[in-house]
Amino acid sequence: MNLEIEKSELLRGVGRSHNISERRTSMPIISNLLLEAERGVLNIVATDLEVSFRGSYPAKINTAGTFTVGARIFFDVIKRLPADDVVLEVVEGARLNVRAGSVFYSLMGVPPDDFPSIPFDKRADLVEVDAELIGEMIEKSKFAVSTDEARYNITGVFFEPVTMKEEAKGLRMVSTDGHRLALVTRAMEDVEALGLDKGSIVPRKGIRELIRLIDEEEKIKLGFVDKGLIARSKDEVLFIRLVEGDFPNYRAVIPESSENSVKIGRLVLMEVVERVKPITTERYRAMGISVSPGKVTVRASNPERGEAKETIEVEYEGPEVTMGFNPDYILDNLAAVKSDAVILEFNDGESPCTIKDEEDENFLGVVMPMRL
Amino acid sequence: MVLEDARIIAHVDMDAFYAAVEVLDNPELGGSPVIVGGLSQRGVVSSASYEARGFGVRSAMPMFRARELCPHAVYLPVRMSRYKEVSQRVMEALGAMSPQVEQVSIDEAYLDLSGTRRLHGPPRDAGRKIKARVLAESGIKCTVGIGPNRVIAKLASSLAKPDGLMVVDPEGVDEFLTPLEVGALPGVGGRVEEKLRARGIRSAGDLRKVELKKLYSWFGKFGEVLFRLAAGGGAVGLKEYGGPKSVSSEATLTEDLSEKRELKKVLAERARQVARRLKKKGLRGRKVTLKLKSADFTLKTRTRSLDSSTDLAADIEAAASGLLDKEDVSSGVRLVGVGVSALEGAGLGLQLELFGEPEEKKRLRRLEEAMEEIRERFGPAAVRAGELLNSEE
Repeated sequence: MNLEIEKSELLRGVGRSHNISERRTSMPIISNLLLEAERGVLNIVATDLEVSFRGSYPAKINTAGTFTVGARIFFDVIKRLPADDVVLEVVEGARLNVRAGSVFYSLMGVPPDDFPSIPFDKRADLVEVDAELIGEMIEKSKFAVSTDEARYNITGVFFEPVTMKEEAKGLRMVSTDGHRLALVTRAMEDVEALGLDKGSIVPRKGIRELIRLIDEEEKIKLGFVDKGLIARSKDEVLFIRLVEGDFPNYRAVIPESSENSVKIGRLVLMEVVERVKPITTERYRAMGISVSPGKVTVRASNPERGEAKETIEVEYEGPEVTMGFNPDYILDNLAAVKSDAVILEFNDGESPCTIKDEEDENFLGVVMPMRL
Repeated sequence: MVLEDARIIAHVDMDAFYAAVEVLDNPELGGSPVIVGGLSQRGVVSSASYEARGFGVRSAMPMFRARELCPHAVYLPVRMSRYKEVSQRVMEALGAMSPQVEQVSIDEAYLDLSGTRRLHGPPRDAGRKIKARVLAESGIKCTVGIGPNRVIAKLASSLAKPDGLMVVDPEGVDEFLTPLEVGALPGVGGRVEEKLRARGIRSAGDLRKVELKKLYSWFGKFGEVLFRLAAGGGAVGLKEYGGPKSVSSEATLTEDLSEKRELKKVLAERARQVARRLKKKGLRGRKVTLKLKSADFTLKTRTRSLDSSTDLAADIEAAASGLLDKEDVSSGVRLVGVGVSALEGAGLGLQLELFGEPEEKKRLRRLEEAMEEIRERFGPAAVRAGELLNSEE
């Protein structure tokens, strides 16, 4: 393998991919980046077996070939190169020589024989989707994803094809960590072509990489295959292995109707919660929200820190209801909404409270209270 | 977490504790004056039953003086280890009432009852429950004082003794303090009391009328403390959270182990102990920590966060065991510990589950509870989990 490539292109690829490579692994080859030189491009492939990435960058290929080199060291070297043009050359199948101006490195590497084969090209009929729309849906749903590996079936965003109002086809993304839930639905005519069947769980790391792929693109292509999601932009492609297992029956925990509801300015509530939150600690995490006629009172009390209380005037005529919440759950939910006001719907301090976007009936947050 | 505005602190003081333990162990002493202390000529009284106090005997009084005042009393030596035993039962009983207990001496503790209204009802009911529970579990009577802070709680208990219960509401603090002699306030005695009396300040009510500036010029920094005391303030919550920040259990191994399989058996037993204590205290935790001390005494701790808090031995064991899997133990391990932190429970706010507790967890909890009950009744070896049983011999 021998090629010439612009430093900026090479750095773009290595910068993007080195974080995907798994550093601590029982399979050392995947802590390397796979370099493939062919037909005017250098492909850079990284994988941790869950998320795999391939970026293609224009290069002048003198000799086609493949090689693997440590992801971390390669990134550290490339980002330090002073010159614009870089020459990469594999010598004796054991080293990668890197030349840029008067700089010379010879990096240890190994041939790609054991590098896992990733089915990036398994599906040719990917569906073109609006990148901004997918990005927005992810932003509105990813915050509730579980980080508890023991509850693997909720450690990702659930993608589900649904029928919306007036028989419109739509894509829904749902996430939960068992204490709260976020759900967003958007119209998508060709949702069935995605190959989702009843729905698939895209793991959290995959979601993170999907956001990066979407960045600055107008359109991307998506398609689900057996056990995987393929996402493709102009010169990058992701293969994300799906979370196996059944997403819980989220419909069962969304209250069909609630006895009480109150509309609150989104930013006002956010500010108030932010002001009360410093009183809470990991040990005393709960913050109280009391809704009573004409006002909402947010307070926290912590024997280790003190107390805080603030009142917001609202239009509300119902009974006084007090609920305890993890303040972060409320803040995350408010941040996911964009309009000026949210609507809280609730029954009592022991049942789920929904947080709705005043202007977006296709978004829904559900937060389970803390018992005070 | 409190939604009632005020903090609620209880001061629990055992009545004539050492003497009461002696009566508990020797019921025939009931009703007679009992004096516990150093019995030699130079000894002092450690504890006197209320019958003995009727003759003017007080703790810290020289023993010969006590003998003069109450020659017919039963005089007994101090059996500290026995008192500690009973004290521990008292503290366990208190621990069941609130996760925040600060033990200040062998026979005295503060409890933070804030936010326990749902659990225990209004403060007076909580006080009654404390008294009943302490009596049931230790056989000894106590006095409970409840107030918005430690000082008021302690003053209330001192006034309600013996076998009493006094609750001072936040609104009632002024009225409660006004008639109290300044000498009753904590830290006021001897010279300070003299100085105050010399200036015509006899009660907390008098003290409240004195400007802070003056108090400061008389007593310096302590003047500020006095000012706050008189105003009914003072230390609000518990000094230190006696209530656990974590619950853990560890074992030093009889020989160093380098087999994960062996270590996991030890972990399982530690996890069971931790779960048992969590369940007893009504707590659950969201973080599981594995502690390993290697043969060369280097200490490692590894922590895993769970999404949902747990008090199940099975969950704790699984998390700790998962952490162990990632560690290299080939050089030998001499100590293994398991801890659970980020606690939730009574008074701390318990995050409710959106999907409810899975059936499987409910079953596990019932199973673990049943096993603990059998162990309590028939001894620790009466029942074991299958894995541990296989490990025998």
